[in-house]
Amino acid sequence: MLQEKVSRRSFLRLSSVAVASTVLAACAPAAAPAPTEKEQPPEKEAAPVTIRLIAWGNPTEVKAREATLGMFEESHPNIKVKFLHTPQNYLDKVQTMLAGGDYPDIIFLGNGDVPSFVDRGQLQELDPLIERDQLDLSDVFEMNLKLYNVDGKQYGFPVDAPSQQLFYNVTMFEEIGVEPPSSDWEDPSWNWNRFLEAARQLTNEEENRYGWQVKGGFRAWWIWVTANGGTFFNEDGTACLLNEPPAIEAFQFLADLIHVHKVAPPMDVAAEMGSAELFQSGITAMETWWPAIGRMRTNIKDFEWDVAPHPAGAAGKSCSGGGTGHTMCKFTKYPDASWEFMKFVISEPCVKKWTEIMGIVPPLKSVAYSPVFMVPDQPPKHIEVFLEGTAYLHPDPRHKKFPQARSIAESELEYLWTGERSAQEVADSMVKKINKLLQEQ
Amino acid sequence: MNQSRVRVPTYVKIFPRYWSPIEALQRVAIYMILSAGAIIVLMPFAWTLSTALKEPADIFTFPPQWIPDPIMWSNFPTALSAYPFGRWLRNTIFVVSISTLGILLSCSLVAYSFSRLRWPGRDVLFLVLLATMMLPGQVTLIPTFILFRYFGWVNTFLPLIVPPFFARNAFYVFLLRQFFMTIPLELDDAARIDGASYFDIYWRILLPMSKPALAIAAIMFSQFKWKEFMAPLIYLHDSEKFTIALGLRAFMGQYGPETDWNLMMAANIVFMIPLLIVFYFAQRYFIQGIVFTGIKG
Repeated sequence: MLQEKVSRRSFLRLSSVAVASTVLAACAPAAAPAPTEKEQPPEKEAAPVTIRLIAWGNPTEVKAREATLGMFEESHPNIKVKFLHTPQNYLDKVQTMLAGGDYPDIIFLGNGDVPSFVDRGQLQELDPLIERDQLDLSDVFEMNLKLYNVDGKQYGFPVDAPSQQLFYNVTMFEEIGVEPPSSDWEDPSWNWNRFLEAARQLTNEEENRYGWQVKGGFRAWWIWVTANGGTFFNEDGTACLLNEPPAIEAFQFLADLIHVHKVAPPMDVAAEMGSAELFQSGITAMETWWPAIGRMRTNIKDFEWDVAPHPAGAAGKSCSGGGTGHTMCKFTKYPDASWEFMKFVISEPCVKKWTEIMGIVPPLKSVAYSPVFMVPDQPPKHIEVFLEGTAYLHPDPRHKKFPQARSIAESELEYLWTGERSAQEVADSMVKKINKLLQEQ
Repeated sequence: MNQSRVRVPTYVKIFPRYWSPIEALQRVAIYMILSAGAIIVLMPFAWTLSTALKEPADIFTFPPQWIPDPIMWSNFPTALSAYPFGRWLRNTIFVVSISTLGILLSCSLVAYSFSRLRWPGRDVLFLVLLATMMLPGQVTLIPTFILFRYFGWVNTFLPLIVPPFFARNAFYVFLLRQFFMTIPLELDDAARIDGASYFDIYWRILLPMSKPALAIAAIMFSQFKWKEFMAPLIYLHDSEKFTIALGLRAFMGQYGPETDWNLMMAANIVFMIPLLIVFYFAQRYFIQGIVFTGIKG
């Protein structure tokens, strides 16, 4: 067998050539199509352009997405919209794309994330465009429009106006003979004492029935804190005020519902994840929930249900919430097409379609007070609680470090919900940690 | 030495004819512990299966209801028709098979160099290679994204299937190198005398002798690739290009209550089946892999 002996050096040389050629071979075919896709001259708006919208979505949301995109493409034949569906780890993907220079044109964003995106200079200020086109935004609920406003500048439009309200099982109230919560925001008689009394009457541990379910999520307890006059940060955002009496009272009140009055089941992970299911299967009589009314309508068959405001604390009634909306990326190559899309998502036909499919609270008053939202003969009877509630909305505190502060607060509160520490202890340690976070630069 | 042995049937091993009382007790104890362990391990699977057959309202009933009433077989067709899973499955199989091939070829070649060839700085470089295993993915995420965008590879399968051809995963290099080191060097010398080139030694001597190690690497890597989430999430923009791991998450809403748990579990069960089949046929290698990496690592 004759075979040339390969020296180490020639082997290395050969293999490096082989590697280099594979690199080239792999690059060449893929590199070619890229420019044709990207280098369409942006100024030629007459030629069809494709803008890219990034958003998450479960099957229902995807359906709403496809329906509204279809409407938009029909009315704007020159603009195609590509939907970048991102099932999970949404912000990771968006931030990687932005950092990597692969810019989406429209970014679907929870209102709480807007300030940090603005802070990084990633969102387009919309005021000049609103002014240029004389876009009338008076039909949008003011509180919800303001959620996309940072330092007086508008950066996006809401797609919904959700607020967390109190859902209750009307049938259970009637069967046990408890007076139901008042759905009137102005009625002060529905207060914490009456709430506790109702919860007590509704609870029967042997029958696995509870008046209430305490939830550890920020927005669920934020309602009680704000109703009692508490705040998260001081005016200039340099200190956390969750250890002041109003907040501590609210925390203790909620914890006592579990441990002292025993009108709420002890917290565990499954209950936390599926608390809506606890309500839907008739175990809890009252429940803080955000308004996925469509889902409640399909899932609840066995009893009648309704909504009401949470009971009034020392400072009156309150609700929490926020919602999501569309923002425009500052680095878009197609600002005109993207702006057309932004105008479309806040227009009545789009909001109507979105509301029909998603069953959410629409951000436009005209749609909210129409049969699209107030579906006749469908529960809840007092659906206007959501709309009147927008005036009582206490949105998430606006602070760059709020997301971290919130998770500190939520994890400290675990000790309260499990009954290991008192509200005072928990609030003190939470404030200490959050203040430390605020001082870090 | 006489290697032939009578094959003892399993039941004889478990129940020998004569048990000493201590043996009997030992066996009972061992089987009780193992059964308890098996039940604990199987609980999540049982929950998945039971959730997949429930109506949404029954999922979180408390205490948990193990046998759904009514049994919702329709969850399976509903889940599978919610998204183009056929297409996603094809994508996944494509990505998994090509990239596994790449890992096997490239990692074994590099391992060959690290184990059989002598060159200056080899051991230092090997340490550097191992050090890359310590780099958290978040650190390299954005630079690699920029690199692939520069190549024009974003929104294609290339970022998922080309890097494995460059021995991207140091772990498999390490695994194969350790295995190669156990093969006697005399074989190389004999091959050299017969006129084999370095490549021949790799291709015709080492690879055929390393089938068990290659099988372990193939199984471990393809399993990892089947479940991989972050890279497909970042690089694939069009939902037509999704892999199964991405697609299964598309039942989740942004908030817990919006998630269709029953549909998600139904789809999960369907796409667990390929992995179960692979595991069934390759369990010998799985166990070997654990023993092997355990001893050598």
